[in-house]
Amino acid sequence: SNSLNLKAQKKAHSQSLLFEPLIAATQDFDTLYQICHEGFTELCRLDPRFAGFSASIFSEQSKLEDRTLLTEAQNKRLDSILESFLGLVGSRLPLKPALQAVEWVVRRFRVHEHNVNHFTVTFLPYHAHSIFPTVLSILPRDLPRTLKFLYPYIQSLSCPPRHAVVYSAAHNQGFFAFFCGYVLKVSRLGLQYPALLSFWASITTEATGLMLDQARSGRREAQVQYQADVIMRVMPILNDGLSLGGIADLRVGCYMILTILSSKATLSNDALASMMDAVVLGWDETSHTGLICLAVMAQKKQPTILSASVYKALINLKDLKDKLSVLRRQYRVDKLTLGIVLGMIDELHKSATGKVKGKLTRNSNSDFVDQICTLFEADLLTRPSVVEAIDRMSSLTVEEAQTHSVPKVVSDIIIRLAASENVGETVRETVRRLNSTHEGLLQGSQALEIALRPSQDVDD
Amino acid sequence: VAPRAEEEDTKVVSAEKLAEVFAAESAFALPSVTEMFEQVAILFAGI
Repeated sequence: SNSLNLKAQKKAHSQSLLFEPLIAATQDFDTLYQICHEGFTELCRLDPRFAGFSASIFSEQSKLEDRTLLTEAQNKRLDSILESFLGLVGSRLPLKPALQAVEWVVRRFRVHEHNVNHFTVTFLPYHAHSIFPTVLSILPRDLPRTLKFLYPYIQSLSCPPRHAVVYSAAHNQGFFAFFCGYVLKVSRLGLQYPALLSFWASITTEATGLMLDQARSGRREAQVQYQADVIMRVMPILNDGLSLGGIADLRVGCYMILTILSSKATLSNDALASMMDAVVLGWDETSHTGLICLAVMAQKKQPTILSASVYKALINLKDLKDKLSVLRRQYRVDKLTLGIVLGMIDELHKSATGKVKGKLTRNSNSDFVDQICTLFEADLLTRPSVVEAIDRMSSLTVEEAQTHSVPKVVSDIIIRLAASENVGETVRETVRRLNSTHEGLLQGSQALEIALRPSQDVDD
Repeated sequence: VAPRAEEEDTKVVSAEKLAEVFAAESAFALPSVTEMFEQVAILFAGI
């Protein structure tokens, strides 16, 4: 059994990213260290963050470190260092020095066996690269279930196509969770790079779409349950991703997945509202894409009332109307605009009727009226949205009619909109219709009555 | 008044159509995350 053990050790030692097995088998750790350390030194020149590993996994002492002789706690600490190193080296893998350095952690610390998930996923963005079959060639035979989709490619030592990765992410929950967890961990450590985030965002978005498409088959109860499972699987990842500040691509990747979730899943209004809250929380440098994401989600929300935090974040955006007008060229923004308008009407109405502390000043009132009217007139709202907004203003007015005359700010808005080229006709029709059912609507506002007359009457 | 085309519900987008956005052989040939997001949003909520 000793000879068998020696044979196994020799075979294990011959597994290499750089050398043919016959050559690798003859190399001692002194020789290997010299070769690999050269690469490591070069990496330190490229990125000073690598220097942090010079006292641990790339120290002289590491030549003698056999992880089979380390305690569990020591191995755990070593795992953590190795995984940080893999995270940092991920973006440099096509470079020879990076492969030389990785060769050291393969040969000395058997990272491809002891940290197989981490090791493989670090190389995964390079699945189409010529290095990937070599990576596959050194993976252990008893792969964890997470990576079982790689078996056929290990057999043929070929590059797995992108759709194989997507399919696995959609159907192998362990792989999906590990892959997402890996990207979040690497990002938390500040080691992410653009291609990794593009790769993750694209695979996860497509996989989420496939999972939700699959949730549409079978019995109704099974569909509901499966869809809930998918949401439960994806939401914690999005919450983590959106909570990490300063990584715009990760955040936009989360927006992309949210777009798929809100478009393909049947979400409750509460779930949509929570997602919209998460979009605006700390969205500073991603407010352009965040606005698009909110626009997509708002299309699915019924009714289109925005939460206080989403409303506030939107109102605080500089040049909101212009931003929405730019988006309007490519995307539907009508429901989001309606949500903003309804929020503004509510705020203005509360202020005008003294229902909130700290009334708006006359100046800010008129600015606010101007902002509301500008949104109406900018052709951002569809006809039903205009009707819904006028309906809301009117119902607030009717509520007040018992004790007050028509709040002046509301009549100011309606008077201006009634004369608008874009929405005037719809506004006049809607208020006349509403006035026929609510007699108090026009009470006390002669100007409003005049504004609502059909245009030929006014001309006469 | 007939509703405008954009007043219809959110579009149904097939898996194949979505995959086209990400159709790159290598992760390094993919567009930026922002570009991909904008294309996906157009698929689902484009005019």
